Amino acid sequence: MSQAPTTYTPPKHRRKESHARYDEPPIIVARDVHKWYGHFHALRGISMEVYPGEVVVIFGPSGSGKSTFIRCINRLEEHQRGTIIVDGVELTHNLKNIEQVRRKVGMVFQQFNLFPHLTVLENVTLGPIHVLKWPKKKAEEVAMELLERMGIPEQAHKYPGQLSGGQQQRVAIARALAMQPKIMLFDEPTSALDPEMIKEVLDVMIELARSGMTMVVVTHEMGFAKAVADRMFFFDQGQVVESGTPEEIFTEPKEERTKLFLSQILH
Amino acid sequence: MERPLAPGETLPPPTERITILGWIYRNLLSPWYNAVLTVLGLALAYALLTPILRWALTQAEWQVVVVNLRLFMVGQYPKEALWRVWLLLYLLSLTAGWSWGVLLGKRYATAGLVLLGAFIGLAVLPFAPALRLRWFTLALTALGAWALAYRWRETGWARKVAFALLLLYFPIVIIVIRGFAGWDRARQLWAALYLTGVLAGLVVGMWRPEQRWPAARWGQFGLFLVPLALAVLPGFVAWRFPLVGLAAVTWAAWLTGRSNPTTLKGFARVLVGLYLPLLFLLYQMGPSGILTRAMPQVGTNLWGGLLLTFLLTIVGIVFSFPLGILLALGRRSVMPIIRVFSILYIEFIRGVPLVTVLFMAQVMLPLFLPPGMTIDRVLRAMAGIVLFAAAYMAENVRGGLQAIPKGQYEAAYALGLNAFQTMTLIILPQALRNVIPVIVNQFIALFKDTSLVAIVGLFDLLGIASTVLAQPQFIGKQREVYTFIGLIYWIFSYGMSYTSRQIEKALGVGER
Repeated sequence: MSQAPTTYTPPKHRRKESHARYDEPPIIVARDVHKWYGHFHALRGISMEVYPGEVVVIFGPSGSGKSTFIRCINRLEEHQRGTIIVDGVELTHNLKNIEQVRRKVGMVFQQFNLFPHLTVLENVTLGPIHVLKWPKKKAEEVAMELLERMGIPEQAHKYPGQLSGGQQQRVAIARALAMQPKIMLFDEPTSALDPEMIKEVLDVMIELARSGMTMVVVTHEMGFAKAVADRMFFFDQGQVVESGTPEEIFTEPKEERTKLFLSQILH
Repeated sequence: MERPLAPGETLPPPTERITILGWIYRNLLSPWYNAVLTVLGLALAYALLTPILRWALTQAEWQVVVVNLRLFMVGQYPKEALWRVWLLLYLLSLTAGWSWGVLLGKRYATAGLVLLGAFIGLAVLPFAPALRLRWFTLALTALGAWALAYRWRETGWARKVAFALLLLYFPIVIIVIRGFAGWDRARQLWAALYLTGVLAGLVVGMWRPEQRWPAARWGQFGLFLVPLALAVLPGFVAWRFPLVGLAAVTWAAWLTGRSNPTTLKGFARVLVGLYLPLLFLLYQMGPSGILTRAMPQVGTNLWGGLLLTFLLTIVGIVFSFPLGILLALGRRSVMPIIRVFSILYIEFIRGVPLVTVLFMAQVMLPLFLPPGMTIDRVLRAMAGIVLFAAAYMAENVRGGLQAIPKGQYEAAYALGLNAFQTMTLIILPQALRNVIPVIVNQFIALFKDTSLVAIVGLFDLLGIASTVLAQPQFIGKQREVYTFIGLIYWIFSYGMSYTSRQIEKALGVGER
């Protein structure tokens, strides 16, 4: 178990419907995380703590390392310096630890990455059946409940290629949730979607946030951040430039770079 | 008639009036240079086909084929054992008909009717009059199996029977064609011990007795520790290797049983049910057993003709396919030794013609075997073909693997699947589907390449052709003989190609 920092003070303006439990030890701890691609220094000492039930939004210009960082949290990328501890398990070269972490952490990708040779239902039940070793019937019942929650139960027997982008992304969310994760990571979940489909995906993400799921979301959807984020982190050039509650970030950003970036994306 | 459409109103697509003359005009005669090409093409076809047809129907003496039909089909396979080939053909009819009825139902009815028609045609035409009844009953068997299977296609057992038939057909072919050499008692005993070891390991592994009796936690290791301990004892020196093998097999079965008890349940139940019948069959494999007397061994030197061609092809396909997949994965492995070995193997084999590999298998393979151990010629040829085909298969599969986007691996890993599950559940199914045309292409090439074994002295279809042509009464009948075997090669190659296209279509359902 990691030692929780005892000096942490919760953010000032806590939103009423927040489920973040700041009195508990953080569920994700990243300390001084570095990552290089060849000679390119992609992450330059990222430190961050995420508390159970918290919704964290990471934003910043492209190439700032936001995707790289959340992909380090479930070891799709390997960090080369520093520590990452997820729910008490440190990510090292130990395969057992990596497997344990991946079971607790669900991930949703920009490009959906559904399995095109499996039906929607098979996509969602794959993890529970083969990783959690559930019987097929139970896995299918849970999958149907999730698809209903996502608003697409009637698509269960179609193939991913027959669905719209928004529907595919909701299937991907259901697939991640089927593993009963403690944490959900979203890597630009709406960036590959047509404008009219962004809302349907954001709606289920907002619903998920309000149900108390711990979420780390890389996104440029500032409406989503305003609605449900507990804290926001602004990344630039592999570093955390500024962090704070949405109120702080939107109304009184301290750093010049944050102001500039916000003015560009908020018009 | 021109009016704006109401909201939501749709129109049917415009229908085209297609008449035969219209089709001919549009596709063959317009514009003018198409007409010229059509006329030229027809003239060319006429110039090529008429001499061939005139020869085939009026001048050719097909007697050489009719008289030597058995030779072409099975080579020197003994006449008194021919019933085994027929038995396998009936079993093939049954398997094909049954699995078609269960898995395909009424789909591809045209292809099915063409196949049935071919058999009935063989029965009706004066091709091999003595076999009329056989062809006819073969067609009836397939049709009957199809009808019964279609009737019960919804039931679980019908599906299980279909899969069992499909899986077991190939091993049964090898066993029945080869026959039984008459094992001595010691060999039978060892086989029985191995069978028992596998079964016991599997059942104990699945059952996990330590959950009921804590004492059994270590007790179950006795399963493989006892044979291992016996192997160390001085009194059992002669049986050291078989004992260690027994322990290893039992241990592997035990691990398998423990790893996945739920999916193995049905399999284990079938195995337990078959235990006593298998022991009985094993007993009958003795020197005076029923099996040995009914189906005495037929040496591979007597295998020949189309039968040998088929056996070489099937063995080549069945073994080179998994071997090729392993090599393809090995070539992409992160472990340098495995990767380098795979690359060396693939590049070495690809740089050498098949004939060389076959010669090597004949003359070099014995160097790697312990002295006194021999492998017969057919088996050596099979090994050569498998090793050769595996290298090409590996490259085909690698092409499929490279086409899979990185996101598929990431999604699988993020779900918590391990590397093996990711490969077997996510990557390979997609990769292999993408390369079906290439793989079938290779299977067709393999089927035709088996004719090269004639060079190393085996009598496959082509090898038999040369012996037939050496018969004094049929000297100079090359045209007839080579046309006949060419036709046989074409029929089966086209069959494979047609099947692969249907598989592609069927697997493409719901795909972008």
